Amino acid sequence: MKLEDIIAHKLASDIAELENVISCYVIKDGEIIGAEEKQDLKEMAVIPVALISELCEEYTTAKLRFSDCKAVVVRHEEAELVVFFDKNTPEAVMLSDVADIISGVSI
Amino acid sequence: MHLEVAEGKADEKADVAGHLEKLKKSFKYIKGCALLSRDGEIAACGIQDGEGLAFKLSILFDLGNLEEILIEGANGASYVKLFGDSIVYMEFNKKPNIPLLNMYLRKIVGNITLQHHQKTVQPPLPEVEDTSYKEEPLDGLLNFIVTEYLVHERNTTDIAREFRDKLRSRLNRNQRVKRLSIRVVPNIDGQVLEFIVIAVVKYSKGVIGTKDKNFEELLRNELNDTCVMIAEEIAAKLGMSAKVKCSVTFL
Repeated sequence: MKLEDIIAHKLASDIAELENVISCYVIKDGEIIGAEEKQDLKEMAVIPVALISELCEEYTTAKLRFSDCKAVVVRHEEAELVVFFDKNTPEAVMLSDVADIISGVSI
Repeated sequence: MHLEVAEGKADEKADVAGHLEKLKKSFKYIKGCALLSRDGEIAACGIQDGEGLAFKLSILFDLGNLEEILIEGANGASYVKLFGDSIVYMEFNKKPNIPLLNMYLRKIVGNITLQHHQKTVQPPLPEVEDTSYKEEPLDGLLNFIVTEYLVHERNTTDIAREFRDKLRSRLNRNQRVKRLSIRVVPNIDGQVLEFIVIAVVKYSKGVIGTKDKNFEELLRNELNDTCVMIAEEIAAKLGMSAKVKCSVTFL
């Protein structure tokens, strides 16, 4: 396992420890390099971030609302973080918590 | 007011376009907007490459119970919301006031109903002793499919894996492809086994590092053709026909 993958798994694991987080994925070049799933979200587990990226050039964040949960996609250096969380948690709170964790991590 | 938008109903399309125009005039920072049906049909579009947009959104909204997306970037924001079977897509020069936007959208778009092809939800696996399919011919095919899954110990995850492995092995023969990420979501729609394929391809761009449009076009065609071939192979084993929705992004 490469160092990059180890960091990505640790990052996903740290974010998944946040209260109300359901799962977290770290994606680089369209591939999942780190994942932590508290619940199985089946087919909607990973959002195609490449499509989101194409919908708004140079995007920094994407907020998605599903019928039973929410998700945020955050661009971090060359990687993207996809975090699914409880729908009662405000996106701003989740983004702030995620920002705190990733601020000291370089992928 | 309910509008049914269908092919050939030009007057109704004009009505929808009128709603869209009204929507555009209501917002100061709007760059463009589009109104689509959930399965990718364009009702009205004020965005360049509307076909591509419709396709991307139909894939996104196929993946789960997605209702709303707000994407923020350096150049502005994109907002997508599902209203029943309609998808509203809007681009802004800066982040919109979402509660206000939603209020307008509910008023202007909330009552429009676009034609939508009803999708069949995959049935739950039957109990082992359940033989009701023999007595109900209409459900026979679905039960046959489910039985086939059980006979071959297959489920949609296995099918997706088989599809992905085959696709990867066939595309890996191309030496310029450096990294390939493939996501496959199979779905049963009546008698059709549908595959949503999302591929992200990283390829060698040579010393100068510029995009090679001809190569991308060739690879896109190869990917599409290969996906159709594999989908038909897998579907044929289950006595079904195949359908493929394929999205490729080049990095």
